[in-house]
Amino acid sequence: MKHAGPVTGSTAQNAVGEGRFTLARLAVATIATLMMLWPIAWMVSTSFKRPEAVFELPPRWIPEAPSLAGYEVALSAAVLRYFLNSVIVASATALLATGAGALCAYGLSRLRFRGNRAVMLALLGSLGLPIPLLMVTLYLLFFRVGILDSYLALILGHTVITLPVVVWLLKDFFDALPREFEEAAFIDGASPAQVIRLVILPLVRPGLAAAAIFVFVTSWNEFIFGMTFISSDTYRPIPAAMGLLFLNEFQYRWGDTMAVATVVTLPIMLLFVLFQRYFVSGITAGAVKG
Amino acid sequence: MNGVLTRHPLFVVALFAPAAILVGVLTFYPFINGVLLSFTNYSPLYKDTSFIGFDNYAYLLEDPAFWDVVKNTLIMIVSSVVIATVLGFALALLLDRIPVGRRTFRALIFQGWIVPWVTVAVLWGWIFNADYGIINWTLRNLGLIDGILGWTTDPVRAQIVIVSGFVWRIIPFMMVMALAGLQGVPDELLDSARVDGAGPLQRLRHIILPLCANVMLVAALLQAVRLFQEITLPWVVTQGGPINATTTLSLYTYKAAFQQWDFGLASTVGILWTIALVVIASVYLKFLLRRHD
Amino acid sequence: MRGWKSSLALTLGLAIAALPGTDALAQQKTLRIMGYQATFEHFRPAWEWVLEEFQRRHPDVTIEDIPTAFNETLNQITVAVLGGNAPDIVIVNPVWMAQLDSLDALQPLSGLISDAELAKFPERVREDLTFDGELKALPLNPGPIMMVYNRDLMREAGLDPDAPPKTWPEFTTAIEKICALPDRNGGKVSGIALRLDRGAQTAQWLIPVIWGMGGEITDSDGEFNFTSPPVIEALQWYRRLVEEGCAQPGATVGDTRNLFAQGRAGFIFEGPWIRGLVRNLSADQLQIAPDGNIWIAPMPENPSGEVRQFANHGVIAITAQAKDKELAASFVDFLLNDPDVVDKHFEIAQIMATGNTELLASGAHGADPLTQEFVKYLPNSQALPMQHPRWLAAMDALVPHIQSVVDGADAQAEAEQAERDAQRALSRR
Repeated sequence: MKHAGPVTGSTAQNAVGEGRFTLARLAVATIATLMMLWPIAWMVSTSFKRPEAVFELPPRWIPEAPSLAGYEVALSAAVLRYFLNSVIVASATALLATGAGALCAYGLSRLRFRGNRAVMLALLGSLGLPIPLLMVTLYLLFFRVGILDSYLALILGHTVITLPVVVWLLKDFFDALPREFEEAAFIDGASPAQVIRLVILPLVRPGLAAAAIFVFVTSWNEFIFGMTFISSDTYRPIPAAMGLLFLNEFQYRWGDTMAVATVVTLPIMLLFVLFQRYFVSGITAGAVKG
Repeated sequence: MNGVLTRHPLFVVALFAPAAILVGVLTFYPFINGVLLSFTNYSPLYKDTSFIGFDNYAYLLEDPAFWDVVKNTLIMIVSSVVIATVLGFALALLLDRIPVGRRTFRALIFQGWIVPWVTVAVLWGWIFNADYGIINWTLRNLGLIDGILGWTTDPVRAQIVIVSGFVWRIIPFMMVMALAGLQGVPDELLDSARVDGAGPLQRLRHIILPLCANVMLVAALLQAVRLFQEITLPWVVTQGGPINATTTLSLYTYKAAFQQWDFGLASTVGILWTIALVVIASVYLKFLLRRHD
Repeated sequence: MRGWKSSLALTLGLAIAALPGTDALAQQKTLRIMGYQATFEHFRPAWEWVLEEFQRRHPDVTIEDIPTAFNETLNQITVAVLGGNAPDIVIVNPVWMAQLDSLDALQPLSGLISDAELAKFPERVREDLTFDGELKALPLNPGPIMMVYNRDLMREAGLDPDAPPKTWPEFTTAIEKICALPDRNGGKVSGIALRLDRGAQTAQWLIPVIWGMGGEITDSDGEFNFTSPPVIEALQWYRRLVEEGCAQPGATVGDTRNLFAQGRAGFIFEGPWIRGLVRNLSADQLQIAPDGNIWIAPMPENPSGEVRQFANHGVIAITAQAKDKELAASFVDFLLNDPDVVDKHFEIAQIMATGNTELLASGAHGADPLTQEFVKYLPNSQALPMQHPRWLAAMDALVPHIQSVVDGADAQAEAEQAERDAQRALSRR
């Protein structure tokens, strides 16, 4: 691990030599960041434009007469319902996948058995299985059980694509935790439930948070299950609703479309700003090791 | 630890049962069932189903349109991953060397990775709009084009639109992975190389790249596998056209399953896709291990 | 992190509280309708009025409308039907019906609506909507597809706007003259706005052109045929127009309509909804009238002098899963056969609001010249060349080949491959 300080471990002489480039580097980094972010800025800018202003050439980054008309559509009761559906599905998936994944990861971390590694690889490999292939049988299965067009269909579908990641992520986390405390607690006669509650949980909270956020984001962004398993507005999540409603008539109402897109994207960005450190560790942890 | 836990067999069961049931029922059973379905002509549109052996496989493999789809999928995914890996690594090198605001830059760039695909899709449709899109406007102003350039009407240009969306969405991931990889490069090594008179390019080539290669190659594989699943962008922006130029394998499978309701054929595509991925991934990993062990 | 967890729990609690069903009133009947009406701006206000009016007349009925984008409606209905969760009423396109019929999704209408009422709908249209010998839908928005043209551009190109082209050679010349006009409204003038995107509709909308060349897409045995000389001619006609810059390659339905509404296309093939589209998309800049900016004419006649109209109706059907079929039928009857409702619907939507010929000839419909033009050609318009559950898959298989021809590939070779692909799609049982 490298130290976190701003100056690298170079000698003072070298630092001075490199100092010349610092400003240039900052400038390049700023330009690169702008290159990455301008589409998002353009989306937000368009979302505040009146229909005529959208087609104005040359395009303006700051609308001349900002309008909230797009947000009247984006925050209408119908769209808020889709929004609520997405919150419900993403939260429930986060609970289910993180819960089941954490238990499994703990087991895999603490129990050494033959095939331990094979299980991990099988889980990772399952992420490569074609989702439309799995959906065919899931569709038939959910139909037989009678849960097509329900939150549960989406929650289970989203669990398929997130649970393996949670296990990978949290196994690393558990591996990094010293096991002496648990062993001591067990030897002192504590029950497994007590060990989990009193010894493990306090230590893995950041890991659980990272996993839960990863699951939430994945579920929030998921499009294709929402398009296929849901056929009523009661349960339709917001990305599918966008695909269904705003790509039709709204194709030329870019202001409205961009306002809805902004509303879909904003909560996720907010979540990211709030939980940034968990987020990045969550995304890199599993993969670096693999 | 094994000893302690085996004294609580019920606890061990409780640890594994939820995940095992979920993965078993929701992933492995559907996969096995998919293998079986691929040998039938099952379709919800018809009442009877029969076992048809390898007919679905033959049907697909002799269909030139299917091979076009495979080719176009590979072109788009490979170029997206290569471009994103190079750019992501370059960004990481840049950010790794700036003294202040590294976290802020990283956080800002990372925003791209959490934007929902459906947002990327409508946004790309808008910025590449032929008449009023900002891309065409900019190109016109730079004098690079004259009049209106139809981005989704030409096979190659449509692929560029899709690839640029893929790249934009995965650069942040590649960057974060590269930053993590760069953390693993010991400063002492760089310093001694510098003392020995190695220039920045030499240090990059002989020290940084070999040490980061594994992380980047694994990250590239992960993203490639992920892009194979991606369906929203071609669905929304180009509907897979023109002339199937942007029909990815996932869109093709999805259409077979849930637009044509040909579950047998869709399962067959899925199985072929799985086989291809397993082959590609193992060749790739084998090549990797040989080079870096 | 406790706050984070409790907020999750809270959300979940809210979620459970919000689950529907708990507040359902015992006596209230629900009518669930699925369709694209509410997603089109030119349909929505009238549709909302219709739903309100029905609920006003039937206080014990609550209507649940499930809007779906046009292109996704068939899938959404199929998903709902397969899931045993079908709405009571669906608004569909005739080309979707064979697929739904193979799922036994649609309820025959005889017995639910009196034969006398059913007989008021044009025979040709009823034939298109009859599956296995049973009438399974009625036209809500009849859609004879006509040649819609921009009179201003005609005049500017030196053509007589009161004498629209009558034959395909005349038509082609008119297109070419219009597309030679100078650029305007931010771009080139297209002679004609053709649908050329990757959607199955691109193939569907080639059919009237093939008819115009004197061809069919089925042979005498009813088999699918895409290699007859008129088909090749139609494909080459598309390519010629694109190569000359008279049609935009890859144009989506939306692109074509927008182009036309911007006054940048001489012709477009559309139905009665063109008025609402032009009004909305041109922000009331263009007027549809015999002496206005836009007017309509029948499709050009084929080499043997026949005029054959293609149709793209919006039709309404009752599902076999509908819980209260009488109630669903009363809604259909109210919507299509009640003169007051039909008149008001027409007044708001400005679009043919029923296929009931009696009502089309009287009231608000009878007084509207544009509607009467469409009504004149409705009895001869045909929506479905073939009733096959995999029809759309076959159309979808044709599209890449149509696009290839437009892109310069050999028409004959592509047509042969297209026919093979479409037949393969149809033969997948």
